[in-house]
Amino acid sequence: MRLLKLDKVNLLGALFGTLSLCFCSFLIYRPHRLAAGTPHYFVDIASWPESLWMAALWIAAVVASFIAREKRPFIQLLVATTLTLSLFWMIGAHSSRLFEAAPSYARISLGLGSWLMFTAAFVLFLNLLEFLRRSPVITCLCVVSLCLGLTVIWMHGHLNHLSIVIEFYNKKERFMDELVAHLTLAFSAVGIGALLGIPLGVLAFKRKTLGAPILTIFNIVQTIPSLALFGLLVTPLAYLSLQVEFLHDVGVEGIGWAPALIALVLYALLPIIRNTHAGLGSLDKGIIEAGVGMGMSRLRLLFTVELPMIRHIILNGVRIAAVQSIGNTAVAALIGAGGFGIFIFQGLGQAATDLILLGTLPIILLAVVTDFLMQAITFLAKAEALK
Amino acid sequence: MIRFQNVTKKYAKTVALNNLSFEVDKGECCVLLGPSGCGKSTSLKLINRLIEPTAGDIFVNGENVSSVVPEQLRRSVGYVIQNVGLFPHLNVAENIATVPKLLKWDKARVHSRVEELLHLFRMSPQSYCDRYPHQLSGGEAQRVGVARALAADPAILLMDEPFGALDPVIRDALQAEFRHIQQDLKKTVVFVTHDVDEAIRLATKIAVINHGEIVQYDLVENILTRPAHPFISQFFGEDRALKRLARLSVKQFLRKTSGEATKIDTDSALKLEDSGKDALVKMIGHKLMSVPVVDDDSQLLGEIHLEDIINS
Ligand SMILES: Nc1ncnc2c1ncn2[C@@H]1O[C@H](COP(=O)(O)OP(=O)(O)O)[C@@H](O)[C@H]1O
Ligand SMILES: [Mg+2]
Repeated sequence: MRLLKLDKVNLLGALFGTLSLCFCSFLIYRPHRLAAGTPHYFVDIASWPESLWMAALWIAAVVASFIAREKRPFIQLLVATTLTLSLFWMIGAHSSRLFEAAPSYARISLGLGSWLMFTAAFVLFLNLLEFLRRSPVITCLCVVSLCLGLTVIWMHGHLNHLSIVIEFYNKKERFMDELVAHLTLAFSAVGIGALLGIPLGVLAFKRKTLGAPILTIFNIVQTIPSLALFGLLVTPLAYLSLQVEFLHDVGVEGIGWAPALIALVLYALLPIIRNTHAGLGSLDKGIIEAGVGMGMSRLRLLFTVELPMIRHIILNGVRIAAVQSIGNTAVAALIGAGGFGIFIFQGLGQAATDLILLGTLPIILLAVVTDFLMQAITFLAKAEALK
Repeated sequence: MIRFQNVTKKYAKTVALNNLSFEVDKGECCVLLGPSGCGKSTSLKLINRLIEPTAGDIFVNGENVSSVVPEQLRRSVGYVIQNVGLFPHLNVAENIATVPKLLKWDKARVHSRVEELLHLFRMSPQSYCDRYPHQLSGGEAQRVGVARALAADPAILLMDEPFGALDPVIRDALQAEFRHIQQDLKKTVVFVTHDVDEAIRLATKIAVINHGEIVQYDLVENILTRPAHPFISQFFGEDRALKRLARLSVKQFLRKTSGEATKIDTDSALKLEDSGKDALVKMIGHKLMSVPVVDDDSQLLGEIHLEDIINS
């Protein structure tokens, strides 16, 4: 009966996907950019073998939810990979087909059903880390073939008739610039946050009198909305930039990267400090006593026992900070710090959905990938004995 | 070797130790025995300065510990605690090497010392060096804990209920092993326990502590035969006479036979390494007033008489 242990989340995702395939629009067709769209349903535009194939995959995903993931982890993974690739393939094939019969200024975008199916497919991947633990080779193969498949579909120009891809090619140079800006800003904030946060977390733990204020301050910072925090920093930085020539020379101004970076660092600090502090608190007192009792100095104990034992907890804090930082950087565009937020706010201004998506999708993707990579690193960093 | 002189330790509400004075000689195993919360661990931690006394002085090798740098002091004193305290992220070899590394021994010396210690505890280096603490049984982990404390060959070993968390069979085995090792190494040991049997088994001298004061500090034999206080009689129990017998060898009661060697083969016979308690058990079991003692070849050596045991 263990074979029938149900993976509820997976089942929900699979059912969700099946329903989206049948009852939600697959692609939206607009005769020109600003016209109202006509929805196209998958079952209407796909040939019957295609419909059968997609339906079979979703049903396989449903069935896979009933197979204990301890025993056959790769079945779920295999289904999820095939599904994602097929979905992209179908979207490419049918958007091209629709496009051929249309004027060159027609726009084809993804329908609700496509978005829902992507979400559902993402749900199927939620167990990825567990897969990685149980059958690393198969998982790596699947991830690699997924990436390869997507690259082939992309390079082949299969998706080039989708409006969001057209938007991407229109803004390609700008896109790359903003990608670099976004990554630089988000990750330097996390880097600085870790460099400051870990020592602060240690300090907060070792000096109880400092601990409460430090944690309180950063808890409060965390509750300030990001836009407000960016705004708060503009005036003092503008003033400083005028007063201190050096700051002005390195490019510190009231707007731009400086206030954005400071605010992002402030946000990144809390999860890192909190995890360092809580991690140190979770250590077995006996182990610490043994270390001190054998004649380890405080620093030696910290660097050879305490920090190595909680490095996975600290890294988990860094992961939270990184994901959060990638999201918050979007808002930084409003004070001129660049990043994908630029596209979002331009798109909002022009009511151009595709432009908004061009900003949002990469942010989501970056956050998901970062989250996954950091989780994998955290898992690897967890000392052998603590796994 | 270790001397407490009018040592008092007070916490906010409790007096953990009240004017404690006693001395442990070189090579002795001094057991601090008493009910939970009586101040045993506190006394132990005062020796390696994990705790500072409120009043009084502690001397190690004639030197007041308060004048020694704590880290230096601790590296020269082995310390074993109840829940082992092995570092879970380090393997057995790295755990044992902790103090030698603090003392900056070179790699080869550390390595050979680790192997030597594992051999001492009859654990093969090949199969144990690379294991992590969570891959060890309770008994193995505690052996590694003791090995780690012995790593830099300290003259003094402090042990705080080291076998307390083990099940009885394993505890028995480790106690026997520890006694055996101690006979060779002759460390000065201060051993904390609340287990009367363990104390009787391992101690040269026992300090019975109650409410932060020493009730009696004497050789085991004297404590068992001449308890100085009703608390001790009560703490050691009515069967303390049996416990004492368990420490005595049948050799002490042996009435040698003269005459030619005879071979006897009966299961009432005792061996030379048996204890007085074993003799009593045989007598009761076989309904005899005396039982024979034989050597390993079943040659009769002599007899044990009940009256000798009772009068001992
Ligand atoms: N850090 C401390 N703060 C306050 N009281 C303590 C502290 N450590 C020990 N005590 C008290 O001192 C007494 C002796 O403790 P301890 O030496 O640990 O006893 P045990 O004989 O069980 O090892 C107990 O009453 C205990 O509650
Ligand atoms: Mg204790």
